[in-house]
Amino acid sequence: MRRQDKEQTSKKGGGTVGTGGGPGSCTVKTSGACSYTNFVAAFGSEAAAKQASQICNAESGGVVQAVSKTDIMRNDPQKRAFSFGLFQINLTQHAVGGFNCPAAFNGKNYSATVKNESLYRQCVAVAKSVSGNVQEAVATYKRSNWREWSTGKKCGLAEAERSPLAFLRGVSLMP
Amino acid sequence: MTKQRLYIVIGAVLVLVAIGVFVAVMYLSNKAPEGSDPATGSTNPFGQMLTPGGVSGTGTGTVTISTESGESVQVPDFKKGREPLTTPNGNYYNLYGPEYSTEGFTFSVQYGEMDSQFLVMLISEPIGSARTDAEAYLRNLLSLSDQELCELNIDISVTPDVNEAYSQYSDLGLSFCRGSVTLP
Repeated sequence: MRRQDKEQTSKKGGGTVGTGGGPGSCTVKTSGACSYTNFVAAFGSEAAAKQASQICNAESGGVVQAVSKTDIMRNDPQKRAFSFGLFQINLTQHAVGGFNCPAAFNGKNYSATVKNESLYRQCVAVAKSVSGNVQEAVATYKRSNWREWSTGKKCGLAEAERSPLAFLRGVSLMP
Repeated sequence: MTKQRLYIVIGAVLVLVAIGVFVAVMYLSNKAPEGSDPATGSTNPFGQMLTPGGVSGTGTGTVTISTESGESVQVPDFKKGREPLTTPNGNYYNLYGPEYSTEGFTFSVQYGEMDSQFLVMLISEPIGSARTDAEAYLRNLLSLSDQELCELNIDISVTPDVNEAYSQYSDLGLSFCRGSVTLP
């Protein structure tokens, strides 16, 4: 509601578009680090870029150096995070910027612990950069669309991006 | 020692004491009280803790930023001493926020140079209290009144992992600005 007020008075054109996105955090952004215009070249089309904008906004709110509040290594004494940046790249699962980040950990996800401090810090630094984060997000998207992001489903994108043969679900191929 | 010499020595001592008092008074009058808001003189609840990177609201330089209506405002140079995050779309400054763990942090603030936007993320519950912390930080950082802060391009939001319900709002607003969302 307030966003609409701001857009009406803003000379900079506001921050969201009215179509194509969900409410709030799933909105397609037209300004800031999650603006879809930033992603067109990397994701290859305007449609994919708008979806990327939704995921980006839902994951980080556009904070380039976002540190996950929930993706925390339970057994880490400092309770450090393992997901960072615009698309909240999970470093226990993904390489970034040419660094083999999963090798920085013993285990994966919440049960992970850091076994290589130097590599962990390097990976965090790259994941907190726009280029390093978006590069891995693009690679992941090309592999599995938005299914690896929990927000993909929340924003209604994981459903939309299902297999082209999905229409066959429920249709018996047996005689 | 003759009486004349004694007077000279006493006079010299008095002059030196007077110079010392003058210098001390000048120094103390130019020094702002620690932990105070330079704009209002009120107590800053955060002291210097929330201004890492050598930037504070009492910096000597100033920087010009735009309001939402496109007017210019001069504020203390909060960019001084901070490395920008350079992107093809412009520079971002991470003004305040966690590095590896969100423990102990209630909010983060990022500044986008291209549109003079302060992006505040609330990262802990209760988010109403987190927003109050962020407001105090911005007030101190920018040396602006609440009314002046309302004119700036400040977006306050929360991600679903912190608060699902309030993540539905694109901008929660500053609590004292018109149209802001009331938070728990």
